[in-house]
Amino acid sequence: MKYKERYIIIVKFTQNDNIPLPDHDKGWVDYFAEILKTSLNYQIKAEIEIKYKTELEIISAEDFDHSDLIIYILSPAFIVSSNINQDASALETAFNFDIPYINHKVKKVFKAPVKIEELPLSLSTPTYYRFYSLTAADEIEYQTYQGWNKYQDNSPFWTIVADILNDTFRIFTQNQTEFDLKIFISNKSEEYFNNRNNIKRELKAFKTQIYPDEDFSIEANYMDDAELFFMKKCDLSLHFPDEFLNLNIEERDAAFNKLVEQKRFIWFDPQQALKPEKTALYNELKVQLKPYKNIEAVESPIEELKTILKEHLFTKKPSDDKETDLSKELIYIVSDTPLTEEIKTIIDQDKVLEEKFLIKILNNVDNVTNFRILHYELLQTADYFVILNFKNNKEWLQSMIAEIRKAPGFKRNKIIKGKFILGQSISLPSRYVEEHFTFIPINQEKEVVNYLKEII
Amino acid sequence: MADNIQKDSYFNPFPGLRPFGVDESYLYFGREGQSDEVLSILEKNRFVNILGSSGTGKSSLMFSGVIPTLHAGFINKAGNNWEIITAKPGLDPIKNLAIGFKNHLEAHNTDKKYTQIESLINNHLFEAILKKSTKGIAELYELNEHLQGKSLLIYLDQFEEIFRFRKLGTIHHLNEALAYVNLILQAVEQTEVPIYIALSMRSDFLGDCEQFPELTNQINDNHYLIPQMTREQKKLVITGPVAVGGGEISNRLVQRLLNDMGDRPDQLPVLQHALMRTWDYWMHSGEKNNETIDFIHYEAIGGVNEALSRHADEAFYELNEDQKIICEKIFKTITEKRSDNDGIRRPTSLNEIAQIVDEEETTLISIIEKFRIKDRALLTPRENQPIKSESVIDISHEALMRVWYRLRNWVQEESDSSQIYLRLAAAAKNYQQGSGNLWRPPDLQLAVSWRNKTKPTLKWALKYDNAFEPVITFLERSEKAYQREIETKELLQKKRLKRSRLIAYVLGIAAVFSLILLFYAFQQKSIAENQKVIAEESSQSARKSAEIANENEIRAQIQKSEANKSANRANIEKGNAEYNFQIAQEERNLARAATLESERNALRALEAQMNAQEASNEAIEKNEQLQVSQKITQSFRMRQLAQKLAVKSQQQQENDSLKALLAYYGYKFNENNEGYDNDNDIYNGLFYAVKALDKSYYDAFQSNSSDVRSLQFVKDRYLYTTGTSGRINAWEVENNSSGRSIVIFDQPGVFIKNIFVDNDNQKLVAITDGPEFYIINVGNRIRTTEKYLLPNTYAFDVTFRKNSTDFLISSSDSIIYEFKNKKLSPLINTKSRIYDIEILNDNILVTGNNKGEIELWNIQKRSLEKKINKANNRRIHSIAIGDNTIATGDNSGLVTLYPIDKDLNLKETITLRGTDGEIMTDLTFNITENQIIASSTKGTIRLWNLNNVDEFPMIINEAGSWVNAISLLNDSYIFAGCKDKIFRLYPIKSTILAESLKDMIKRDITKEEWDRYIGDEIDYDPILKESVFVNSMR
Repeated sequence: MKYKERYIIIVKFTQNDNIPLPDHDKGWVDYFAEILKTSLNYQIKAEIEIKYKTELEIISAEDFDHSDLIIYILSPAFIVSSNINQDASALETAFNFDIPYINHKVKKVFKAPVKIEELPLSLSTPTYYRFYSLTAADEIEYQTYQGWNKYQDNSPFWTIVADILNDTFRIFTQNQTEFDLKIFISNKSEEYFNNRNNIKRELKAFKTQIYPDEDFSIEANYMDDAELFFMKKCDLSLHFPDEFLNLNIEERDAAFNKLVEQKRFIWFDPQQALKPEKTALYNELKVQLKPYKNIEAVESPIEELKTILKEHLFTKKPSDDKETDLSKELIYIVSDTPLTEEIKTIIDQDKVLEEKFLIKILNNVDNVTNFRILHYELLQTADYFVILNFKNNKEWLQSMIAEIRKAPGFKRNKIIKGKFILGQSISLPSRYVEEHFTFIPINQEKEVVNYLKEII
Repeated sequence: MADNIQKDSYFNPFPGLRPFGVDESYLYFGREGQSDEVLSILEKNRFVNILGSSGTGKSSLMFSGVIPTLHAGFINKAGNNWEIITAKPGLDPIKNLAIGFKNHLEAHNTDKKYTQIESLINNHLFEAILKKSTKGIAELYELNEHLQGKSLLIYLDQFEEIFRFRKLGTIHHLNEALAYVNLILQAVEQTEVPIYIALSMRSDFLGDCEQFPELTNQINDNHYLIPQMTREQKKLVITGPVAVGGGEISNRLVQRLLNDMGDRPDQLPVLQHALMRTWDYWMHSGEKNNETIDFIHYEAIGGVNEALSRHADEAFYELNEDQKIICEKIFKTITEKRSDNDGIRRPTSLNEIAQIVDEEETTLISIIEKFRIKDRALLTPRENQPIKSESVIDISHEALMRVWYRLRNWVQEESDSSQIYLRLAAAAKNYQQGSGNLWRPPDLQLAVSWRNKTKPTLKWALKYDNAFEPVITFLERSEKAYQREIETKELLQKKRLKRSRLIAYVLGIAAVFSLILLFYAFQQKSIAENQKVIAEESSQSARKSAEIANENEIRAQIQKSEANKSANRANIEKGNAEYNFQIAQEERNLARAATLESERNALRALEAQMNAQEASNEAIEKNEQLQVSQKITQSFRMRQLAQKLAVKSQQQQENDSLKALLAYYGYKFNENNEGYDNDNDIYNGLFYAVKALDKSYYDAFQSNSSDVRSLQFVKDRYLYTTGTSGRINAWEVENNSSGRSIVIFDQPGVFIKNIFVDNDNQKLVAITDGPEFYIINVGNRIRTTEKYLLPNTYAFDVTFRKNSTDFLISSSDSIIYEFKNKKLSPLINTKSRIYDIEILNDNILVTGNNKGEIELWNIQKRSLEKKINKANNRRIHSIAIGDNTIATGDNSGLVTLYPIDKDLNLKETITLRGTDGEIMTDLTFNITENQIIASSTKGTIRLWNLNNVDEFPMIINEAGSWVNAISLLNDSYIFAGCKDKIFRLYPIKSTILAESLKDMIKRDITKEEWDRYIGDEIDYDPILKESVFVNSMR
């Protein structure tokens, strides 16, 4: 990775948030800045300069241009005493309200809870780093809150530092991550706040954009239903059960019938489900969910949920090359004898067949793994199945018939148009064959082409 | 011959129990060529799993075989620029991996002094990055600049520990184990940075891998199973290092060693250890310069079989007595039994050991040092690393567990100890849920002696199950209960003994007395009889004398006539005769007196006989007393039978009349034998029998609005109810029923959560889910409704001041407001959420908060008077005030009683048994009956008898109609508002139910049923024959 020789980070804060603890010589902001700088230097051997700005110093457009990262340390004290609004409007005017642009460099660090509505437009986006635990209890008591953000030896603090670090490296390398996939993760349930972040971190590492999150979309504010707006952008939705508890029938219907064409997961955290006040409600909700086919209730450890989500996201993307194939019908031919090149050429070059069909012949594939993979794929996609039976090997034929009979079990999108056996006499009981296959007696391999045309 | 240079400085070519280190590859013999095979697998997929049974040398192969070969550049595409990080999953897998990175970084710059910030980063940031996403390893690689451009091999030793970690079973463990495995798999899958992963794992854990399907796939493709060494290879293991060390070993000793060691694969470390000791002995024997290592040296150290045990004992005996006990605890902490003859290690950090064994770290270090000095190395970390608080202490090899007999016993003891604890934990859980009893001997004795001996600590217990506190309480409770039982038994025994002794005493005396009397009577009788005989004899002799006298008289008369003949002689004769006559007369008198005396004697004998009879009567009376106590036992049996019948009645599903009969007979037997009125089983028997016969027996009346969320009953007459419809209904209740209700409030948009009425039926307060609350003047002729607002908050509970219409409101902003003179003013800031408040007396307010604390507030001073209990993180949902008792119901479904004295000091708290684990919505005391009644979100009403708090509650359970509110109608009935719009009125006394049931029963019990359910030991005695049965016949 190529780094510059020098980076400038502006940190704007109020001194109130940086009063050292009795036995320390550094305040919270000092610790934060130094940790950020030192840990950046673990990877980047460049000079990193941290410029402090007090709550009343303006961050100008010039500052913006000359720095690589701007961090606001937000807290109620900061909101009260700072000129944050002037700051923000200066930048907003200077960059013509290109808020995503401003936001790619300006990051908000919440040291203590601040109401998002109290922030200016460019700062009120949902991306932020929260250095406090937001649970119902803290929400009430935050004024007297003696939270863990005072100390630097606890894992929640460092998790946030790791987030900031990760993003900073990205900003420094100008590496605008290209997000391939999009997922909607509901942010309505406070009790799932930490879980949401946990999932978010994992998916973000796999190039997935999370909504509502990241840099802000102004449109959402003008939508009747911002949730629906976000959901429509995404490939998949994840919800948490708490938002659906205690809804009446109409509300529930409205919530579950939203965007029926999209797969929606509702994850029941096993730990939450243990809470006595939730157990019954969760069970009731699971029953209520049953009629809605696009909604799936998942109850698993969070690590398993991550795997499930990743699997769904990654398999969601259809590959483009397959689509061209779909115009033609697919014939899957298995043969008990290796077909000679001659016959293969005849089949390949036959115009009638070529126009309408795509023919896959499976014999003598070089290794077993490839054979199985192709075989299962064809079971899922082929329209016609043809078994060429010349040797009349009873066991082979029996197992092939069994294999092809499995085809409907493979999540097929289309119906099977025909199943045939071409070849000499069959030593299997006719009942076994005729119920499922059409048997066409032929004597020579060369006749295969003609018969193919005939039957199809 | 011996190499003098090497021997002068202390050197031993055998590592002993611990694996070979990276710097010891020149001493590593016997597995030549195997490293290359491992490497070829590693090269192909950047992943290899080295499998082998315990003691086959997995770690040694890695450290002294694979890693040196790697550095030599054997993997072409990765070059020879390698960095190696090693870690073990242990009990904190991801953190331990992060520590691996940290140690590697610090080892890279040994001279560097780390600033405070840097050590913070090393200690915390690495872990945070690994936990952030499954790409953590690659991210950490990128963060560490010193790794750039190099290939990184992460070697995870003792990977099987992850399975044990996962088995700890909580969701946290499950998640962390999964995350750890995903981290590894992702590191192998990614292609951006050159990371290689090698695991070593005991092959007997292979089956456990299936818990992680993806990992299993990887292992299927890339594993290396270490082959057992051939005899030749083993020979090389012995002779190779000896030669490198510059010594010589006799061929016969080599053969002996090979034979002694046998073919168990896990003997390799034991052999290594024996060789290490032999070498040492040889070195110090003073004749090293010209002597080969031989039997004499080998035998001196005890041979393969003894050496290790002796060596470990040597260290053990160096400890003083106190240290020995601690030493035992340390080893028990770092080992664990897996199956019958298999132990596994349990590496644990020093600070954790300190907490588990409850000792200072410094005390532990001095003991651990004894076992890890250079020539011992029975514990790791190796001697050259100082032990810090976070150092992980581990035994050098599992073989130690097998070979050192002392440790083997300890491991067994620890396993037994954990088994007892786990059983206790299960029993404690069952007891709390009501499906188990307290323990009694012999289990109790076992558990108590276990506790006294092992003195378990919380940290120790957490290794196995997190129910330490309940276990200890359960044990104490069992102990107390048993103690009480014994005391009661002893007391009873004593009483009984005293009583029977007294009875025996009295009876004995009485018997003796009556014997004496009997004897006396006999004697008297015999005297009397004797005298009678004498009297008869004398009367006979008198009669004889009289006869003689008569004869004499006749003779005298003859003689008189003769006297006429001779007068003189006659006169003399006459005088004689007269004299004789007088004597006869006298004798006759004597005889008469004797008869009289004998008659008197007979009378006296009769009297004595009567006395004896009386004494024997007394004895019979005592006997009757005995019969009474027998009767008490009998009635106890009958009460048990009564309960049995009640239970059978509940089980009876098909035959309703039999169900009713069984319940009724159960009740009657209980009643007739002085059983407890409100026995749970009896009540439930009656309850369901009545329900079976009359489906709507409990339905008092039906509401036409909606389900009932809250109800209030005041002045024994007025019932107010509300549901979700925004209506409040008022009912007048007469004869336990009510006809129609009037709607006193109707605003469809308003969701009324709860209503409250003062005792005089003057004001009704309705609180909603928003800031509004309403006051309805229900006492006025014309009802008026006033609406008020709470500032930015909503109410949880209301309580009226005593004899007043002023009230207090607890609200969601943690403030309790007072409502007085139509004005709302903040009274107390409670700083926590209060779901229920009650007034204790005029000036004390009781609150229960979301942390489970009960607080008493002085209303006048507006300050906290007292905290009753400590926070327990259970939300208190309901409070009730009883006679010197505060009761709380919380979200975990527990009902707890806090008895307090006059000065508001708490006495022992009591948690009631038999709860259903759901939120307790309402609680109320029934003072007259000394009961507490609770309703829960699960739809049950429970009634506990406070006379005996260990008893199970009576449970009213109507399927499908949850109860949200209850209210006492009087001391015999309780109102319940149910989901199906029906008000139910449940009698809470068995008598009422029994009377009703009696009227419903149409037949009496048959002889056959009697014999089947009651038993033929008790005579068939139908009790209904003269009452209902006859009535209904009419």
